[in-house]
Amino acid sequence: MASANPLLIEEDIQGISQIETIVTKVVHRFNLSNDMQGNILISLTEAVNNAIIHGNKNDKNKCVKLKITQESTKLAFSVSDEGTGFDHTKLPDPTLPENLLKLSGRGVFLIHQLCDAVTYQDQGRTVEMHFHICTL
Amino acid sequence: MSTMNMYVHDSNAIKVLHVQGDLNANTAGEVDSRLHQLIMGGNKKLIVNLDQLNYISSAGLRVFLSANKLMKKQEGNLRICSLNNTVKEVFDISGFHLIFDIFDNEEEALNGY
Repeated sequence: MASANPLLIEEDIQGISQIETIVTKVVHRFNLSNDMQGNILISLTEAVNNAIIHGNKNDKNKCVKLKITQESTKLAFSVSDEGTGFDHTKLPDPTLPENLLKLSGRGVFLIHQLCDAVTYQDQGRTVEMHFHICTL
Repeated sequence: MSTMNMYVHDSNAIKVLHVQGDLNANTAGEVDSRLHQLIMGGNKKLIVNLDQLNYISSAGLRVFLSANKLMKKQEGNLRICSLNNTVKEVFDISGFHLIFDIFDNEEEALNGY
């Protein structure tokens, strides 16, 4: 699917400190708005953080891969880990009154709210976040 | 590289913590410690000014939830002000506007405090 589209960036990610530099490159390349930059930055940070902590269980021998592809007016950010996967439909809604004060469980929710579309592959080991862009 | 700076100033004898830059998993621990220190230091009124905060992740949201919980235990009140559009959107979609006292700017946060 996304692999058939032009590949912009493919990197092994060691930590979320790498994300800002990558997003800045993409923002400059496509002249994206500040709002979109924020949405991409937060979504990607959440996805990479989840991949490192929940996917790879902080195992430094396991990789997190980031691929960014472009398809017409859409950018796709794909984050893959080497964990056991997860079912995103089983996650509780953090905005329900009973969950509102819970300290965790907002990462995936934020991704779904801030991206134009989100898909999962490989039993949840890969999350692909889509953003529609105006300028090409 | 994620960067975050903090500083505290007194405004009408109320401590205002400014958090600037990126509030994510890499920087959240530092902000959490500072907030904890300020609250446990006896500041029952505390304002967090986010006017120079670029973005906040779920790790950053957790910091404010934790601080709010601690502040309530101390029978105090935490106010947050000056959110940019990106940060405000994250607060809103997370339902944080229902939990926190959020103000457009520091002056409004200080009013009647």
